[in-house]
Amino acid sequence: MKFTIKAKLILATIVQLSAALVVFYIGNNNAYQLNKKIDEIIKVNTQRINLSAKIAEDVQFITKREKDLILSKDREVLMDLVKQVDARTEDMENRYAELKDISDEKGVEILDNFQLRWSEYTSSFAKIKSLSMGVKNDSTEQLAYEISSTTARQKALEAVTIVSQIVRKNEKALEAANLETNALYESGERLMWIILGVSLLVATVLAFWIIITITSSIHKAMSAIKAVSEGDLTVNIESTNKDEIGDLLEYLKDMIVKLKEVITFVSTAADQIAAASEQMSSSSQQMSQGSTEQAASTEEVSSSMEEMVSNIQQNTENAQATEKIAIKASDDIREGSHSVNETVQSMKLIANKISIISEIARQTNLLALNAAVEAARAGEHGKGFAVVAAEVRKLAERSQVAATEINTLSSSSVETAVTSGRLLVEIVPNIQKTASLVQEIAAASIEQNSGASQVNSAIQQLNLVVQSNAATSEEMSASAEELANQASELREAIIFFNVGNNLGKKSRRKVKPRKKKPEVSEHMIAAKSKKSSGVVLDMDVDDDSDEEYEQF
Amino acid sequence: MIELSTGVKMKDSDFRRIKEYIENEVGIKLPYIKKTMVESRLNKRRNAVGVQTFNEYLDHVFAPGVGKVELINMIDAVTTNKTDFFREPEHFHFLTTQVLPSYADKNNLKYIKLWSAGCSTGEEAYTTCMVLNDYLRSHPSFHYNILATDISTEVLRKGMNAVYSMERVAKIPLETKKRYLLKSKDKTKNTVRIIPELRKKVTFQQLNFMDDYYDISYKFDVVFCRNVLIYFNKPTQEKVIRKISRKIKTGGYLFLGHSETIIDMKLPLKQLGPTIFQKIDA
Repeated sequence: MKFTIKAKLILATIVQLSAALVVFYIGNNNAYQLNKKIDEIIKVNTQRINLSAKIAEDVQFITKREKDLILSKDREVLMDLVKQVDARTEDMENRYAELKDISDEKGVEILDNFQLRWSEYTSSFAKIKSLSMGVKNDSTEQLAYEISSTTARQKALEAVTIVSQIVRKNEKALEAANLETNALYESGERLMWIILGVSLLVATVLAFWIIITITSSIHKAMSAIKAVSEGDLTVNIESTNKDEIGDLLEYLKDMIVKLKEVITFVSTAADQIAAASEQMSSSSQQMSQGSTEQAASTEEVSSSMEEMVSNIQQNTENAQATEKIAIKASDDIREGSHSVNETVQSMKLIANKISIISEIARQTNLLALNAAVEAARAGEHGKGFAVVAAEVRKLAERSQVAATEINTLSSSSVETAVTSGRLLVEIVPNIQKTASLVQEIAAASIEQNSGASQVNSAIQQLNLVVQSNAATSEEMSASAEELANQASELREAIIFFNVGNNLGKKSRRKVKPRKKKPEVSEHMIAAKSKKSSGVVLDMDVDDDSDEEYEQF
Repeated sequence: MIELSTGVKMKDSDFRRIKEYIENEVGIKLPYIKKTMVESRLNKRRNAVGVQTFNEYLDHVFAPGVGKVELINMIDAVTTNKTDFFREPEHFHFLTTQVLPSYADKNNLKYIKLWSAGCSTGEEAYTTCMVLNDYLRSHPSFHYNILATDISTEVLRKGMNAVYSMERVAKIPLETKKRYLLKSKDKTKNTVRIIPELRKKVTFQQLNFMDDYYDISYKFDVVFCRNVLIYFNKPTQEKVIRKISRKIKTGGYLFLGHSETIIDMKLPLKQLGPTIFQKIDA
């Protein structure tokens, strides 16, 4: 069963209220009893005493008139006395009836007793009356007096005594009532004290119980909430109390479970974002690098193309030049062929001339031999001449050898020249073919030139695209890095919560420390000293003219 | 035999020199992985200067006085300039549906100033012009001006010239193209140019985000600074945004790029939505 704080407080209040009600009831009852007693005392006992006293007075009054009746002689006085007695008797009888009404059994008995005596007195009084009212003489007077002083006096005395018994009895009853009310008051007081004490005890116990259970629950809740406020979601909440704070703790528990779920989810998401953005950062970095390299390559290809185009241009020109040269060469060769034929003729002529030289050499040799003989004959004087003759002979021999060699050479040269001539004649169509081929090459080069130009402009465009891609991926990389930083900041923030599965530590990424500012070098100091490094731009620069543009 | 005009390989020491300068003076991150990019982009400059090695090239760049022009060329070469017409269109939608009706009308502004910070070749600034001019058709008493800044003079020059290839404007609706673009008479060129009316609205100025203060004498109602921060490291990002936010009027707007954030930065800016911020009293 749920014993809520509300129920506890209601219970405590009910207990105290009922204690108060009991106390009130008892007090009220007591007062009622006392009131009843006082009423009784005032209405019954006191009335009884009063009536008894009056009846006693009546008896005395009547007995007094009885004496006067005996003594009096005057008729009128006698009549008056009788009247008085009758009236008083009537009053007394009324009082008697009244007293009897409010009397208890004992009282009634006493009154009956009184009635007996009184009726006896009344009969004596009747005798006295008749004696007094009749003819008065000494004997009647004597008789009346005798009755009055004996029987009547005794009965009246007895009656008064009996009535005074009632007074005494009621005085006793008053005393008893006093004692009774005292006892009633005391017992009521005691009972109230006891109930007060008990209810105080119960209230105190209840209060302590409520305070202890509430504070213990609140302490539990407080420590749990404090732990959560410090980010500790591993706190174990046991709600043993089945009260509102117990409910509160249950809700807190639910909240922590939900928080854990959310934080774990956020943390995982942050991890994934961090990982993804790091991945993205590195991918786009790669892409950026790739694009940059691509841009550089395209740049190179572009300049290579540029060079190639000029090379092709050069080739075209060269081919055209070659063609001209080839045509000229063909003409020249034809001419050369004629020259060779002429050379052959000349060669043959030379051979003839050489045989003449050979003959001269032979004759010179003979002459030199003769001269040597003549010199030997001359002896000492022909010695120098002999040396000259020997030299001449040597020359003549060498000339003959040379002439023979020339002869051989020229005959072979003639052969060679003839072959050359034939070959030259054969070369001419080849060269003519070459010239036409070169012509074709020149035409192809021109074609190639325009093709290469197109390729080049395409590469230029490609270059622009690649440059733009490089910039885009560069920016993407920077963006992704920023995102990664933010994701790791988010992670840092979430680490505040301890959800118990090492979620923070497990995937805590190393946050790279920001690079320290490198030392400032000389040129930087120079640059730093300038507050604003803005450059005045020539705003009149107008690269393009609106003349070249038209409505879209 | 055709001789290939291959570039020179960059030494690590050369790369470090460039990296130090760029990171300190321009604020752009240059991790080692960017070496290929820097190498290929600077090979052209090296060839243009006419030296054989990067070491010589850098000596030339950093030489006191004479290097100033080439220094700008070097910065031009290493900066990434990526932009498009109508890029991240939700910002322009926000501009016309939120900023102009509520902000401009409430403040009874008939003249608003915008800043395209990190404008690259001007596509963002001209897109803004097109959007605002469309708005102007229904609100004729309205005026605007755009300041476009970038560190690279090369892109600024292109932006001022406002000539773009046909492919770059392919995504712009035909109606808008007809309204704000001119096309080349020479069909082989296949280019377009922004109409003079829009060109007049945009002022180009060179500005380095790393400067101690931004030499702009007035404050803006709207600032676009999109895909700029991603090239900077975190401390630089915060410094730059702080300096930019000083140039925004209270209640003015700042738009950042789709992946950029100012989380953890103590700045007088209130976030209105993803990448949309409003300047508040500091």
